[in-house]
Order: sequence, then C-alpha cells, then structure tokens
Amino acid sequence: MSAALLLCLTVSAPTIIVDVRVEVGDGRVLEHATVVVDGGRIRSVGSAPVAGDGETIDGRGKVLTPGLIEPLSQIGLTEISQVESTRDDSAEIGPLRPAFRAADGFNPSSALVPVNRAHGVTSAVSGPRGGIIAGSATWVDLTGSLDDRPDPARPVAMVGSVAESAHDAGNGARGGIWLQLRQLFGDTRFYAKKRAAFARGDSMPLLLSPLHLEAMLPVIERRLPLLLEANRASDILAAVELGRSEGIDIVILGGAEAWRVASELAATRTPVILRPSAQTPVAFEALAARDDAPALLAAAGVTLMISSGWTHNLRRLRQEAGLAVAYGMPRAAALRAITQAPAQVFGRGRELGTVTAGKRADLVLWSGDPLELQTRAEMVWIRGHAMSLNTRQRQLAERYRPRE
Amino acid sequence: MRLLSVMLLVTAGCAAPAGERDAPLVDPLAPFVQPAEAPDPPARTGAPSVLIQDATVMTAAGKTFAPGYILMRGGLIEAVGPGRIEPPPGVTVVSGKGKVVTPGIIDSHSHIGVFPIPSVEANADGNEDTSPVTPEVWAEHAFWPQDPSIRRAIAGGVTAIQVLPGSTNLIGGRSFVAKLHPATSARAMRFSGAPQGLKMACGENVKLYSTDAPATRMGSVAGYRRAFQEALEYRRALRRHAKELARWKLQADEDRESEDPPDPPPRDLGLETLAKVLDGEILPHVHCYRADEMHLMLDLAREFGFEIRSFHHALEAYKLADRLASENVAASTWSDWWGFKMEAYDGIPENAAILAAAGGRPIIHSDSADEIRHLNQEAAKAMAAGRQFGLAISDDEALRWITANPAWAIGVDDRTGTLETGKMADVVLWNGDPFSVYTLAEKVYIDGALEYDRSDPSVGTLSDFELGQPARGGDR
Repeated sequence: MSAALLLCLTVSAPTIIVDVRVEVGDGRVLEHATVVVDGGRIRSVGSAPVAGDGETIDGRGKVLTPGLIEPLSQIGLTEISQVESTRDDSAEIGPLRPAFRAADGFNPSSALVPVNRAHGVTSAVSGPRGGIIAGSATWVDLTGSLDDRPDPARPVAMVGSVAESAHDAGNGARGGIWLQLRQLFGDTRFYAKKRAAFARGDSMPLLLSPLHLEAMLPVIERRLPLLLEANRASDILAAVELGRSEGIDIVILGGAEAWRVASELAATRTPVILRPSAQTPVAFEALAARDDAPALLAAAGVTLMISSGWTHNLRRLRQEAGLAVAYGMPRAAALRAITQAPAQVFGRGRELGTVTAGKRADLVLWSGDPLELQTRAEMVWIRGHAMSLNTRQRQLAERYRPRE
Repeated sequence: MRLLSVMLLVTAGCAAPAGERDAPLVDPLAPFVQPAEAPDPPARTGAPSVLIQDATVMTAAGKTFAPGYILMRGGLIEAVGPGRIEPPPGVTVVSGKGKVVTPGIIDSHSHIGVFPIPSVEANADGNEDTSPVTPEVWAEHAFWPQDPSIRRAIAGGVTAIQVLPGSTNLIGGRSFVAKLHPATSARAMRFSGAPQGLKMACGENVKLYSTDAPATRMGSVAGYRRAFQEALEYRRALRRHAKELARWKLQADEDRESEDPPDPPPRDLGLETLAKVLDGEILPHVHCYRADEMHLMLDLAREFGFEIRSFHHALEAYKLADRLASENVAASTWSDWWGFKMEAYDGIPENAAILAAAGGRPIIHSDSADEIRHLNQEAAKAMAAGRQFGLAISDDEALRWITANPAWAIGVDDRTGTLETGKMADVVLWNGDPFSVYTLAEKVYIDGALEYDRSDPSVGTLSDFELGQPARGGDR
C-alpha cells in the first residue's frame, strides 16, 4: 500500500489522450473522446477538449480500453512449467490446504510479467492449484516492481476443485471430494464458534489445524468467494448447491457444461470463468462442451469472465475474447469479460475495470480493435505510469534481427 | 515405402498387385511379406462440381484474385482466376461475395487420433515408450478415426494433417499423413501417395520423460548415430541380397548353386524404416527446440547422408534462420508458445517471420487439438509480430505458413497446398478475412467434397463417440 502511494507521488504532469475511441469496459463506446490521466487516476472522460498542461497523445484511429484482467492464472508463481524449482503454484500438503497463500510465492520480477503486459494485460488473479482446496489467490498488478508485491493477508478468492482434476485428491471418487468438503465446512463452522476454546487448547481435534480453519473463515463469512473448478453440469450444480447451503459465494472455473445450467447460474448470480478456445469434449466431464457456450451464458445473464487459461500467454486474453465473439457473444460483453467483470467479481470494481473518471488509470492504447490479431498495444499504463513494453523476447528478436 | 516394395516386386519379375480386396500382398520372390503395407485408398474423384464466384481468392501461390473464382471438378481444381466465369452446365454455384477462399489448411504436426479426446490413458497411443528407438511403429496403426477432434479440425479449415508419434523416443516411428475425410479406418483416410515421415526428437522430452532413454543429450546423439549406422549396414545387406537374387534369376537352373533363391537378411522392421529415410523415401521430421541442437542434427544428417525435411517446434529457428534457409529445411513452429519447459524459454513471436525474411520455409503447426482449430489466427499473429518488428510479410506469405509450406514439408506440395489448376480441390470458404479473429470457416471442401458447412450441421460426420451423448442438440 505504501508502495502504491509512492508510485502515485512520482506521477508528474497530466497525460491527455485526445480524439480517441474509448471502449469503456462496461459495454459503452465513446467516439472522439478526451481522457485525462493525472496523479495515477483517470481525471476525466469526455467529449470536450481539455485545456491545461500535460503531455498530449493523439488517439485518432486508436482505441483506449481499461487494462485487461486475467481472472485466474499462476502468473508470478511459475516461470518454466516443467522446471519444478521455478514453480510455486502448488504444495503437496494434503488435499485441503486453505492456508496456502499464492501471494507468498509471487515473483514480480518474473519474465512473464512484461511479456504479457506488452499485450495490454495489466492485472491478474494469481492462484494456487492442486487438491480439493488449493489455497488462496491474490490480485496482482503487472508493474513488475519489487515494491508492488501482493499482500498475503488480502486474498481475493479461495481456490478449489470439484472437477476431474480433484478426482485423485478425493481418493478416486467425487464422493470423496464432497465428504472432505463437508468435513471442512463442518469443522470451520465448529471452529468459528469455539475459537476461544481452541486458543485454550480445550477442544476436540479437527481435520485441519487452526491455521487452515482461520483461512476458511472469510469464506463462510462471505468475505471471500470460493472459486471452484467444475466442468460437468452435475458438478456445477453441486457447487451452486454448496454455495446455497453454506451461504457462501461461488465462482465456477472451467465451466465446460455451464451452458446447460445457465439458468441456475444466473439465478444464483454465480459467475463463470471459461476459456473460449477450449470448449471441446476433452474429458468425460466436458462431453457437452460447445463453442457458443460464452454466447449462451451471456444471453442467459450469467456473469462471464474469459480466461486465457495459460499463464505464459495471458496475452491471448483478447484473442480468446475475439473467439467468443466469432462464436456469437456480443462484442461488448466479450470485452467486459476481460475487464469490468473480473474487476467486479474480485472486489476491484470501484478501482479498476472501466475507463471511468475517478478510477485508477490502468489503460491501454491500441492501434485498432483491441480484440483483433493484428492490433498492438501502443501504450500501457498502470496507475497512470506508462509501462515499458520492452521484453526479453523483443531483445532476443533484436539480437537475431535478419541482416538486410 | 511403397516405392521400395514396388521395386522389390519388379525385381522379382512380377507386377504389383492392384488394390483389390483379395489381392495377395505376398510375392513369393520378394524378400519379405508386406502385410502392413496395405495399398492406399483409391483417389477420390466423385465429388460434385462446384464453382465459387465473386470471392476474394487467396492462392498462397503469390496471387490474390479480388474478386475471383474457383471451379472444382472431379476432386481437382479445374480453374481459378480473376473476375468471374460463366458457370459450366451442371455445376453448383456458391456465392463468395464478401468472403474469402484459401487453400485448405495443412497441419504438419498433429496428434489427432493417437492422443485423441477425451484424453484418457486408455486411448493415449502416441508414445511407444518401450525403447528409445522404435522406428518400426506407425502412427497409422494407433490412429483412432473416431476422435471427435477430426470434425472440429475440419471446421477450422483443415483438410490434411500429418499425425506424428509423440516425442519421448529418440526415433518415435512413422508418421501418418491423412486427408480429413471421416472414415472408419485409418487407411481409408490415408493421403493417397503421400510419403510417410519419421518422427525423431531431441532434448528434454527424451531425456526426462521416457523409460530406458539416454540420460543426457550426449547419449541422445549417440543413440541416433547408432541407429543410423545400423541402418546403413542393413541397407547394404539388402542391396547385396537384391543383387544376388537378380543373378540367381538370370541363371539357368543347372547353373544355380541352389534351387531356392538366396535368403534375404533377417527382416528388421525398424531398420527398414531408417533405410528408407536414407533412401529419401521417408521424410525425417525432428522435434527440436534449441538452435544448438538443430545445428547438431543437421550435422548428424550430413554424416549419415540423409536430409532432414523439417524441424518441429523449432522455437529457436530464428537463431539459425540463414542455415535453415540455405539447407532448405523447413521449421514448424507456433505463433507464441514459450516457457513451458527450459528449452522453450527463448521462444519469440517473431520466429516465423525472421525465418521467412531469411528466405526459409516457416510453418505454423498445432501440436494441439485446440490450436489446430484456429491455425489461420496463429498465422495472423505470427505475421503481425513480424510486421511490428519491421519485416515485410505479405498476406500470401503468411498464408503459405499454413498451406504451401506444410504441404512441402510432408511431401505433397505437387498435389495440394495452393490454389492452382490441377491440384486437389482442398478449399476453404471463410466468412471474412481469414486473418481476423472474428472469421470462421463457412465451407470446407476436401478433394472437392463438402466436408463441413457452418450453415448445415447435416454435412460431415459426427464421430461415433459423440453420437447420443447427453446434451447434444441442446437437450438438458
């Protein structure tokens, strides 16, 4: 937090982007707009020219959007997928590990940060994997600064799985997953009531240590959503039912068959994270996957977040959104699914996710349609700072640039 | 391989059996029986005639006709050109107004059928992980023609694929080149007349993920050299036998030392594959990420006298672009994959474009049942990365990365891969610019036959596996 303050204070003159098409992130589009960024914030968004000092950027023919947001990845937790020593996204300490905190392992200096930021991704949720409850996810801003580490005490979601990925952790059956979840919630509620007795060492032993049960308290107190991977329609309904019976907020990750239960998801306001390019029967839990799932979910009123599904290539977010559009999702909804929707679901909706006066100036200036493959991010701002778009990949390309 | 079997049969003074059902595959004088080498399916010539008019026609052969037309007849491209033509009688006319026609996409690197979906161990048949060197296995023999990915690949505009064994073996086996006409056997999907490829692999996958494999890259190179040395010796023995057999046949009965023809060397199915690589009949495809390893493999191929046709994955092709270009070795890569393993850490989006600028032959491949569905988009990204880097990459050039260049790599560029008169009618009609994220294939013709129609779900074949599954057709 002090780091954020420090960054804000170093901002000097305002930046004024003129004559730009603004795709706000909430579905609205403003043509020939002027956007003023000052003190790390969006000061104004309007149609009238603004008088005053500052750096003026000609936005003619260009598009300004909010910074793109990846709703779940392992950014900063993995450098090279198959090099174990560079991975901090999973600790094999049993199937239930709510006290595992992704933030503890986050590396802001990861080479993945600038590579993805150069394509307009400014924030991401970075979360753990594995088991039934993998631990807590954190919000990360992709400044790459060592002064910008996430606060482990402020997670944005508890992450788990009731999908095939947890089958082994359930000792080989979905029933094994659910019995452990029932025990976890039972123990958490028992613990919540008897914390004082536990502190005195005056209670029966529970499945997990107090450290883990403490980490579950924000979930049952509805301060932290439980993000559950679920793909089969019946698994998704079971997750929704868990939310109802425990009075907690559920977010569905994966959601291959979510379109089949779209009405339940909409009625319970259960958001879904899915990857449009991966809607195929890749597993028995996904036999009903279909390409137009994002369109069907959006039409049913489900809050949809689009994921790149790929930590090294969060930069594919906009391609994934574009694919969803190709398969019938309204374009405005697809852009919202990589900006405003994840910001709102993970508690950053007042700060981020739209180009709105007063919000933090996390912005991207694109050479054209941000979802198009040949469009590039010309400028990327986080908290009003123009970020470097140089990457190790670009430096490699330069080193081997073909001779004329 | 078919060439060699024909040669042996001719040597034996006997015509090759035709592709009839009961034709014997065993020639009494040929050294070996050839049961696995069943004949190719007959050429497909029965497709109805179709004329696409008023479309933008991107030929991948240097020309774009806007507007242009393409006439398909008898499974072949009969005419393609600018403007429009009077429809010949009996031809179905398809309007291409506002649409774009390209050659069918060819994926040089697929595991469809051998690592099918749903992804279950029981159907994972891509790695014959019993020995580091298994040139005797054929991907065709593991190909599951009911893989639901086949239909989805066609819907992505893909008309031909090379199915490769996986990468946990130094030498993984023969590839299977298929036309995507859904069928109930692999052989019926075989690309008639296409040479087979040989899958080889360098680097991490072999040393880290296979059983009984070499522990180091040193051991890997020793393993390839040992295998090819054995192949040289095997080929020598086969040639010696062919000469002895020819001499025996020319001799009068009384001059023969034996009534029986001379015995061939014991048949070795693996060395047979490698001998055909040495003879140029089977095209070697080498999975290799790092530039230094590609250099090593080029040197090794020179040592044993064969030519690597293409490197696959080749994330560091940009570091030896000049050599790949001058030695005419293709490189199949992705637009943006990187970092999934140590040897993939230096992958860059400019890779394909840098190789193209050096005069090389880049290919955008999939290696993935998801990626194969939007190879046009991947080519677009690689093209955009090159242009943003200041390299002049034309649309036609980028289109070649997914059509003409893979056709060359798998040895079928004389038959498909561009829109030119006389080539196979492997054609995609897109509902817009194929390099736009919003564009989808609308109609896909393979050998002139309509195998996919976005507006008509009855066209094409749903795999047996998907038939009757819950929620097809929107049921809850």
